[in-house]
Amino acid sequence: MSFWTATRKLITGTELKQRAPRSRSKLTLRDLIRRESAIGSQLFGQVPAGHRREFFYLDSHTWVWYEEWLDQSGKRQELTTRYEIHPNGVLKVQDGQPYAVVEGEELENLFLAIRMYYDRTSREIYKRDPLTQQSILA
Amino acid sequence: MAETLSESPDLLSSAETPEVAAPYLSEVTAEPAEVFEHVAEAEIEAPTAEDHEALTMVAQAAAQPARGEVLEPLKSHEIIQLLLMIDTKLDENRDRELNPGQPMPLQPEVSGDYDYRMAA
Repeated sequence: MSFWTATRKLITGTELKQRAPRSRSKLTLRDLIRRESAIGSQLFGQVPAGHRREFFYLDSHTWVWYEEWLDQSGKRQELTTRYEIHPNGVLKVQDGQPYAVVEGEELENLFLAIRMYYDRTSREIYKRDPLTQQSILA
Repeated sequence: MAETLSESPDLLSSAETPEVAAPYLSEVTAEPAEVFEHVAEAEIEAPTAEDHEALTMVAQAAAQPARGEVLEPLKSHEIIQLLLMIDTKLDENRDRELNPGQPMPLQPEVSGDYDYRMAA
């Protein structure tokens, strides 16, 4: 019995009722990506007013950074950057641009961001220890 | 081409988590066919047992919170292997959530972490 369970029992005299298991099967991949992106968008600091940012793992070793903002004339601008992780390198592609190899500081920053993404989504969404992948639910 | 992130006002300068600067966008110059020319077949040799052990240690460190942590500089191919590994773990997290009760693929017998060679 945990400390809080014991405390509750001491105060109320009752056991904590067992919660019904959450129905996870109704979640879709899109739901999960949306939740992950809510975390991913925070990894680079506060999103400026008027900006919308998404940063998420799509699938198949592909990451997406989407940024949307209003320019000085009030016109909406958007930029989608896709990072593809290949065994022999990381590629970056933006709309209408050829592929480029991600190297040096950009690669290190991407790595740090993805580490934090994995760590936070594991703990906050999947309730798992990022190292062992064991459940962290008591 | 739309405004790039590096030109976008206040975008990168607004970061409040100094340990992670946004990935800056360098000049995009390569043509598709040239992309992997200088990394073709990539001088990535088959990992030795020592490589494996070192990467496992790095992967364990990588799974810890980054705040306040000082990491030894990683080589590019080490970073790439870790990124592939993290992607695989993200896939596993999603699979568990979407398919509760389904058995997971066999895990490698590496204490506490994933065999990066399986992810590559």
